[in-house]
Amino acid sequence: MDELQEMREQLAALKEKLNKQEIVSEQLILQIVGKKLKREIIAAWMISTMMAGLIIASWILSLTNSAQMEWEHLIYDVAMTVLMLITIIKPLSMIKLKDIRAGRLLDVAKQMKRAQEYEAGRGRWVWRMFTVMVLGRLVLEVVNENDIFYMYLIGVVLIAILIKLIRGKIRTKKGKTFYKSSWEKEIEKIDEIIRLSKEEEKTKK
Amino acid sequence: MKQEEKEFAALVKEHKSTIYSICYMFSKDKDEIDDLFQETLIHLWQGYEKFRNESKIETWVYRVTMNTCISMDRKEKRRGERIPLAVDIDLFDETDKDMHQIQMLYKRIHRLGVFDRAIIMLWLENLSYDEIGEIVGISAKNVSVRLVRIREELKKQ
Repeated sequence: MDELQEMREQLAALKEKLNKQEIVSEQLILQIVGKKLKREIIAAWMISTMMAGLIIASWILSLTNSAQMEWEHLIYDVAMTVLMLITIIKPLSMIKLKDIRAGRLLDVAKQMKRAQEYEAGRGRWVWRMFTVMVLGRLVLEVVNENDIFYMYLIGVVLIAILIKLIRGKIRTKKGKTFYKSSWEKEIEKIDEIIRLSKEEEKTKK
Repeated sequence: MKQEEKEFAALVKEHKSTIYSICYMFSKDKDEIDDLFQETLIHLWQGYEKFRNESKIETWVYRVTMNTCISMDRKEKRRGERIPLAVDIDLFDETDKDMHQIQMLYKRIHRLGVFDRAIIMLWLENLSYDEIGEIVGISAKNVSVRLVRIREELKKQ
C-alpha cells in the first residue's frame, strides 16, 4: 500500500478515536475565556504602570532641571510631586498583579471596582487640587516673566495627554467615544469578570 | 454561558479531533498536547469575534492551530495552570495495541521538520494545494514541491 494512503487511514483512525472523547467541556471553555481576559488585564496593567513610571520620572527630571530653586518653589514642587504620585499610583496599587497572574479574577474585579470608586470619589478631589496647583504655578511663572514658562506649559499639557491616553477615554461633544485606553476597556469588563468567575465556580462544583 | 461562548464551544467541539490530532503531532507527551490544545483555543477565542466576517471556518481553524503549534516554543509550553482535558486515552502509551497504527503515523510525521509536519498534516486532511498554501503562507506551487520532498523523506524512513 502507498505509504501516504496508509497514513491517511491511520489519521482517520486517530480522529475516530478522538471523536468518541469529550475533550472540550463547559468548564474548559469558561477557563479559556477567563485566561484571555487575564492576559488582557495584565497587559493593560503593565502598560499603565510603565507609563505612570515614565510620567513620574519625567516630572521629577523636569523639576531637578528647573532653574527656580527658591524655597517657595521647592515646597510647591514637592507638594505637586506628592499629589501626582497619589493621583497616578494610588489606583494602580489597589490592583494586585499577583492576583491577576494567579487568575483570581473575582478578587481582581473587586479591586478594580474599588480603584474605580476611588477615582470617582476622593481621586477626583486630588486631581482638582493638582490642577489648581498647576494653574497657580503657571500664573506665577507668567507674573515673574520666567523663560521656563513655555516649557513648563508644554510639559504639563503632554503629561495630561499621556495620562488620558493610558487611563481614560476620549469622547466627542455628542457623547460618542472615539478612543478608549486598554485600561479603560478592562475597567468596563468588571461585570463580565464577575459573571465569568461565578460561572466557573458553578462548573467546578 | 453567553451566546457567543456557546457558539464558540460548539465550533470547538465540531473541530476537536482535528485540533487535537494536530497538537498531538507537535507534542512529545500528553501534557504538551494539553498545553498546545489550550493555547490553540485561547488564540481561536481571541480571533473569534474578528473572524466571523471571513469565509471558510475550517481554513481559519487549521491556520490558527498550525500557527500555534509551529510558533509555540517548547519552553513556553508549560506555562500557568493547565486545565486537564476530558481525554481517556493516552496516545503515547506504547503498551496499548490499539494505538500501534496511530503511533506509527506519529513517528513518521514527527521525524519531519516543523513546517513539513504542518504541510503533510493538511494534505492528509484532504485539503487542496491552494488551501494548504493559504494556511501556511506559501504558494500552491511551493506546496507541491515541498510535498514531493516530504514523500522522499518519508520513503527514507
